Amino acid sequence: MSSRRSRASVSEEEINELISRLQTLLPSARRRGGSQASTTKLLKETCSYIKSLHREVDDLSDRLSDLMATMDHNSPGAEIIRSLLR
Amino acid sequence: MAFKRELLKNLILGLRARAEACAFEDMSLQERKRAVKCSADVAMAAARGAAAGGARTRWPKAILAAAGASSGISPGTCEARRSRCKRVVRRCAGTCMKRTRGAYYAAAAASSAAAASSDVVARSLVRRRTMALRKVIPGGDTARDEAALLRETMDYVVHLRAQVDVLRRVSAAVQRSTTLRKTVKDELKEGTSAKPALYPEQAPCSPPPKSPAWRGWRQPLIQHCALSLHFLVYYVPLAPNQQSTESETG
Repeated sequence: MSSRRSRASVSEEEINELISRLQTLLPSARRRGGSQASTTKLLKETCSYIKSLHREVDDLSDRLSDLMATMDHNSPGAEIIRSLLR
Repeated sequence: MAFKRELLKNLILGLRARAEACAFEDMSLQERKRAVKCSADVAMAAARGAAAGGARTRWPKAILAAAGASSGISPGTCEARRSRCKRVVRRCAGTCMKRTRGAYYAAAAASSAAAASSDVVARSLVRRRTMALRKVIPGGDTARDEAALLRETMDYVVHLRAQVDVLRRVSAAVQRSTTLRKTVKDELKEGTSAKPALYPEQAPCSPPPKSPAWRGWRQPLIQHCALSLHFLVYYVPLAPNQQSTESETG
């Protein structure tokens, strides 16, 4: 029983350490300084941050595909591209 | 930095493979956008999987598995059937989650009535947030415990940020080369005798500097004009010394 309790306390410490490490990755960590936010707030912030990164990847992919679409396919540059991609 | 280089290389190879399978100009706008996004995700997952410690993470495998599954969609009735199946699976998963959540909240309500403590409420909030986190991390629902999920999350966030950075730089490089190409084209159309400026700050009539590193103005001009993805390996500024990129990644 005591070993189970100590195992649970070790994993709690591990989780607390992981949570504080996660906090340093979030952009709001700089604003907050060294103070510790609650676990719930941190997890919510992490979800929002990951969703915003996903949106950014989507926007950048859209932009890249638009840029590639505006290539002039008859230009000498396009011929060079075709030869390099062959 | 090595991860970003690997990601960029994979992105180029992935886009090249897609262009060979189906030319970008033949794709619809949506198909092109999906192709670029999928290539970016697969490039990130492959780069992470190949890097040190990558085998211990789940999210790269989840992304590659999802990409493999979606690429198997065939047109016509098969696709309609598969997308219907996917909708049904998603609905079932949602219902199961609701039932599980409902059962959990019913149990939580009962236990809170028996022992109304703020700890129970706090723990239920943490559980809810953890479940939301599992949904946004690829392969998050297979993480065995909270500690594993948090490690996956940190690893994923770091590499997702790198992916955003690489895509931003690639877009900027493509934009620059498109602008430069248009400038060169316009100048050649106008029939100016001066050599076109390679860089905005360079005067059009100034001769190229005669330094040993200068390989002549033609080669960089062609490289700048060509919207070559191969060129991007050299000129996307990922590191101060980007000329060593090719030799490191092969």
